[in-house]
Amino acid sequence: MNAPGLDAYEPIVGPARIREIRAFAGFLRGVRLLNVNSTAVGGGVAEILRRAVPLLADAGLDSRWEVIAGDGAFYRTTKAFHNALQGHPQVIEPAELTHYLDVNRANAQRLDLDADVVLIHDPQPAALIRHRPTGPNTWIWRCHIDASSPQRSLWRFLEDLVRRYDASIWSMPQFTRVLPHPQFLIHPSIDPLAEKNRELAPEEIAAILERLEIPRDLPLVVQVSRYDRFKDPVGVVRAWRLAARYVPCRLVLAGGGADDDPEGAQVLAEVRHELGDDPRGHVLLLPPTADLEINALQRAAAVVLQKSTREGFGLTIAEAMWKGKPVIGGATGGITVQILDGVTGFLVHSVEGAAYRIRQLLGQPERARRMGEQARALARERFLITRHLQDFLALVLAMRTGIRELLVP
Amino acid sequence: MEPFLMHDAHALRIATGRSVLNLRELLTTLREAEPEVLRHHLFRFPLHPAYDFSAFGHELAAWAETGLQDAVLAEKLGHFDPYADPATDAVRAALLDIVEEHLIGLSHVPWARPGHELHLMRSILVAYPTGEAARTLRELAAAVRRSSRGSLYFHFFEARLRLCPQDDDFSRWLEVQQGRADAAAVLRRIDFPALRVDEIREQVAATLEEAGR
Repeated sequence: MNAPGLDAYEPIVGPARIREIRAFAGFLRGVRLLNVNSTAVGGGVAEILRRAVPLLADAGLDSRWEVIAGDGAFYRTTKAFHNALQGHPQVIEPAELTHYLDVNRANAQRLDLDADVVLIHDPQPAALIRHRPTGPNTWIWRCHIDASSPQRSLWRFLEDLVRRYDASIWSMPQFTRVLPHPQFLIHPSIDPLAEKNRELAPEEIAAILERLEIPRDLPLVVQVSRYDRFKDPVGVVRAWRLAARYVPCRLVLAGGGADDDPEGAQVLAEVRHELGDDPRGHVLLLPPTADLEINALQRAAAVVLQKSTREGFGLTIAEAMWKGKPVIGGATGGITVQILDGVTGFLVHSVEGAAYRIRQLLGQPERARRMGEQARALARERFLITRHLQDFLALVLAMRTGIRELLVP
Repeated sequence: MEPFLMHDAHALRIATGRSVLNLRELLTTLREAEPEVLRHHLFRFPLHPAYDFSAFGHELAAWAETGLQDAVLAEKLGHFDPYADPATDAVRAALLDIVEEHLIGLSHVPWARPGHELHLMRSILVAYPTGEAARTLRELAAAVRRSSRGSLYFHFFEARLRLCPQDDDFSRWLEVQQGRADAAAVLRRIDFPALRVDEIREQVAATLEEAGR
């Protein structure tokens, strides 16, 4: 089946958005765009690129996507980068930094980096800037990570690379750093037509839950996210257990691994230990291809949680909002812009807070339904891929015309 | 007679790297912030859906309420109408008066809750003609009903900074191109800072439809 083109989004977001994307793309006709990241599957970045790259091509732009390759040592180092950027101190040896630079150099030789606008995603390929082709190109670093309080020594290393870019893009203003170039703010997005977010018939949902062996005798409290300490899955188990004393409910934790996340198995074991043998708790380890299963779980949920303690953005929240679910989220990073507290869900700061809000939403279904409606409306306006494309094309227009207010043509 | 050319607009946000943590820092910011930073926080709030859920028409008042949790300051700032005189020096002076006076009466300086700091930014508005041209009041009413948040912002809010604070693109066109000063006056009387964007869209369209009968 062919991937949907831009026109397929018009019934969802209205004609104005599609018209704007085509108009901006028209102003940029002939500009060659390239995205580079570290994994083709798993994680939010790959999900965004899988749709954004062909949609930009459909809008008439020359749009490509390259993925760097690395060995286990490289990904262990970049995972340490990720943790250090999020404020968890890591010991990174000089030899590991050298290997990181070597892997980037090898990728620079292997990949075709010739484009007018090059968007490099996250720290893994950031050192490609050292091998930037000569010519009138624009290189932009896209940081998807909450880098608001990074480990200083690691940031000093990365800063030397990031400063060489012409601009950077950040998901939230509090993540930005002091840099000698413009720092644009663009929220990431979800694709409403992707397998993970498309409408599902009730029978499809029922069949998938049966296959996953999740009984629907009780309301479901669901958190979908990688088994990562920052997502606090252990805290979710504790919050659910507190809430379930008052309102009978089941817990579903559904997470996958990603190619660049070797820490997941350890966190998964901690979650299973915390849950014990409680039959109302379901811990699922899903492959990166389990989009339909995640879709069904989010749609079957009465309440969705994203109890992260640090979060780059947390696209699982936008996914749940798009499905009309109120979301309880940790008051951190990008979660605070997706959840308008008390309007589209609740922001929480503790296990107890999460437990209390679970009880409230399960005990007040009409309130939960209203919040879910507002969540869907906000997701439509702010967190779908069409808005992301608008932002990105506006940024390229701005970069190519001197970053000033524009009335085009 | 010239048709009304519909435009749409998209704001691209750029971080300054600076944040406001408490009321004293807000005072410093109001003294020192670049004009485009003040413009963003005072005039571009309607481009964000959060505007529709806020009790206030600009982001500084909204932040005083949700970030500082200072209801009195929020009400004072919310009452301030930046469109009355949108020149940078005028809004800066008026805001400084409000915040300084409020600060004098306080026994402690309010701080923002963690995660609710005011992150200072500026924005670039990228505007473009949509290709729609309205030649009659009814055509314009229909175009307004179809218009996006960005389009309505450009013609109704941003126009006040381009033209004059009491004017907008719709009423200017009604008066100059259609000779309908009466309908233009009705549009100019809309108390827009107190309305959500969809309510403004409805009132503008209804006024145009009424005038076109």
